[in-house]
Amino acid sequence: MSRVIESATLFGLCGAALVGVGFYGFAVHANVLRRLLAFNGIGSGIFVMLGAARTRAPQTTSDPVPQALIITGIVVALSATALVVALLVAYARASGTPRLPEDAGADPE
Amino acid sequence: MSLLVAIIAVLPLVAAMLATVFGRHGAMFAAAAVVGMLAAVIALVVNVARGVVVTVEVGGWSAPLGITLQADGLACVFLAMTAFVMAGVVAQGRIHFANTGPEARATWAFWPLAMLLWTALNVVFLSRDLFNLYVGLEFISLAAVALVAIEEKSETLAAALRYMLTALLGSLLYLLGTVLLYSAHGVLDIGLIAGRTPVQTDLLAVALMTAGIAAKMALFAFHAWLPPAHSGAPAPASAMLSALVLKTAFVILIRLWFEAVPDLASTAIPILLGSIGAAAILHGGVMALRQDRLKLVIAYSTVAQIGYLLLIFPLAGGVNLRRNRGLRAHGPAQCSMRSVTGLPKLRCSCAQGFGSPRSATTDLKGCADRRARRRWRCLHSGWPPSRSWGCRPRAGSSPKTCY
Repeated sequence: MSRVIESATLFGLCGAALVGVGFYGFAVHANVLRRLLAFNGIGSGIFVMLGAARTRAPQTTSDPVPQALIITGIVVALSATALVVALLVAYARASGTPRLPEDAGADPE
Repeated sequence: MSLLVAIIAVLPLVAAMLATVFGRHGAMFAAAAVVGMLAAVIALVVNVARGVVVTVEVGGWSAPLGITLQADGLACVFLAMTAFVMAGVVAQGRIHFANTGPEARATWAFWPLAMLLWTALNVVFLSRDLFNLYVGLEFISLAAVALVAIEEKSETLAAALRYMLTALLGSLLYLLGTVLLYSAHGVLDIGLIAGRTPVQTDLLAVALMTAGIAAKMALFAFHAWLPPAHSGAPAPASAMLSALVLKTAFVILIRLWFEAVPDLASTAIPILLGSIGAAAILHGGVMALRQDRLKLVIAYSTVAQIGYLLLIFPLAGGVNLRRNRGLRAHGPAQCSMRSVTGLPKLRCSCAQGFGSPRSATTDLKGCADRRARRRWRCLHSGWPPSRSWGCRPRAGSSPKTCY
């Protein structure tokens, strides 16, 4: 069955689109929680691109190295997200706003 | 020999865990870790200087699935500097966080975080694998951000959040570059990347990684997070941050450009990096002169120092990085000169830390009203930076005459 586009290329393009959406969200939003979610979008896009990556030698079984990298990356991103959420909760409790001081006057978003 | 590398990577981690469990004795575990680490690092440096190649494959699995740790000259220089700076930090921390009365959060939390940061730094110095460097970078950022936020005030929490967001962005850019390199070549080991057949996406990948490291290194245009973060952290923590964390990101940059992809460095790249470094020196210097608080002066001088570090690219690269085959021998010499700047930074922060609890002000104007007996502290904090003024980059100019 011929496909219009190979699955690996499709995964790569989807990953790139996720990364793009994440970067846009990080740049535009003022609320720190939304920026954190945008970071998770970037991370997920990078992992999808890594999953679509191919090594030089053709493999019949699945390549373990990208899987190991993705799993490690997910764990690292999870810890970083947890730290940012904890910091944000403490900051919002201390200052009353979820925005950083330099973003205080931005459009409500 | 692999035991030495294992000790260097794991001993601070063990100290961190013990300090978490036995919170009251955190300073004692940190001091024991410092003694053990100094012994291990000195033994490692002696062995590497004798020419022994120290490589450890963790768990017996070889690359690419396993993790390879290697101690070469560059790693040894930075391991030694980190050990000496941490010795000073622990010594100052014992006084700064002395446990009198009810236990404050900073007293309990500083020791595990400092030891975790030390582990992360050692892992980055010893790694030969691009993805392992990413994990080490994230580890460093997590520990450093927690150190910035250790006092729960609104400004320090904002500074920590800003630092964390910038650091996350830098890590993700670095990871994106690593993914592009892996997609093109299927290897992540630095030595194997050096032997690859170049592909068009390599320049984009390395540019992304450089941008990511620039954000972590507080390079000139990406340095806005640094002054509030370093002034919000307690004095021993900001000594660690400015002396160690930024230089570690710089070590990754050196490994990337000098060992992984030297063939991509055309004439423009060293000049570009050197220009950004020069701009950082100027900007950091001017901004430091305008500050009122001592900690902000130190923070902006750190920005200038990072620019100074970047001058290694035009100095050592010359016309073409690829032509300097003997750079691995000169690299440690130059980096040792650059890493020595870490020690004066530590003494600045120590002097400031000793001074501020007594005088209850970090204003420069307040420092001027001190009694004569304390003037030696002002001298102590002023002397180390002035040592760097006249320090001509002698080691850096020799490759140009040799080649």
